[in-house]
Amino acid sequence: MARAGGITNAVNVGIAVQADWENREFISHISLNVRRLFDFLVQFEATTKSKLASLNEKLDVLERRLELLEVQVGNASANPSLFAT
Amino acid sequence: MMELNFKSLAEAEVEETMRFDKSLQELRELRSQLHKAAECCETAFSKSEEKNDVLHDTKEYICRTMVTVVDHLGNVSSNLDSLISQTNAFSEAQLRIQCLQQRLLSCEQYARKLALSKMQWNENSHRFHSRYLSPSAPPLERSSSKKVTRESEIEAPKLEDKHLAERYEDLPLFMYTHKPPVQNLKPRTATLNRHNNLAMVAPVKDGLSCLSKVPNPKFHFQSTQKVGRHRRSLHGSDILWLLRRSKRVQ
Repeated sequence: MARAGGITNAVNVGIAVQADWENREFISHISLNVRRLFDFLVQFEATTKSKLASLNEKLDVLERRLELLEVQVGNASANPSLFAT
Repeated sequence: MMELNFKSLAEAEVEETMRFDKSLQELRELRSQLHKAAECCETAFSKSEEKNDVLHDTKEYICRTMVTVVDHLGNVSSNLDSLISQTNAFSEAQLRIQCLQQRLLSCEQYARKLALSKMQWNENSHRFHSRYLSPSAPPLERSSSKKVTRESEIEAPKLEDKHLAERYEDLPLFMYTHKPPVQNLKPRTATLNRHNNLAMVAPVKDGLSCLSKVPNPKFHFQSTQKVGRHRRSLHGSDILWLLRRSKRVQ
């Protein structure tokens, strides 16, 4: 009787340990996926920043060109006598 | 056609922006939902007697939530990437700016051509020749005001002759176009008189007389061979004057 109780206790402990290991495995899987997700987010942030920087440079170049054009057009319109025949 | 393309592009950009905003909003809402789900699982695990079932349900929920989060993140990132990678607008703007620059350059070239055509040679424009330059006025005044005292008559011609000789050497054309103001340069023959009369007609006196080269009388190192004869005569007159004076004194 006592022997049977000891066996059931051992089985219960074994089942609990197995369940604990399964839970740990699940948590490790989840944490690993969360880390992968975090890595993806970091990489995505870097690529997005670089793309935004290149777009910002393009916009700066376009703005400078537009300013230059505005100044040139202003100078041309300020001297209408140049175009008078 | 171009307007339709621009409208379609603008509409596509607006749609992409709306998608990105929507996915981002869903991701934010998912965060709050996950927090609430975690609290519910915790309370259910603590209150329920069958904790294994609650744990199992929580695990399943976590798996589904992870998949949902990944899906939402992928959606947001793809929307953002599509928004950023759509650089057609920049290329169109660059093309437009280049077109404007070329048009402006063509306008500038046209204006320069017009300015150059205005600056071209014209038959009616005034022309000034260097040989018609007139000398400065002072020598004429000196020659005209030569009837003063005897000593001034003696002293003045020396300087004037020197300057005039030098001046006429510097401006040889002037001799043919202007009347010489000094008595020593008066022509003695008829031909010379004729030349002189012609010269009276030719000169053009204008405001450009200041352009004629006037030598500085203070720095005169030219040889006085041309006026040496006058000097000798003057010297003889001085000797005669001294002799008369000595006779008067005696």
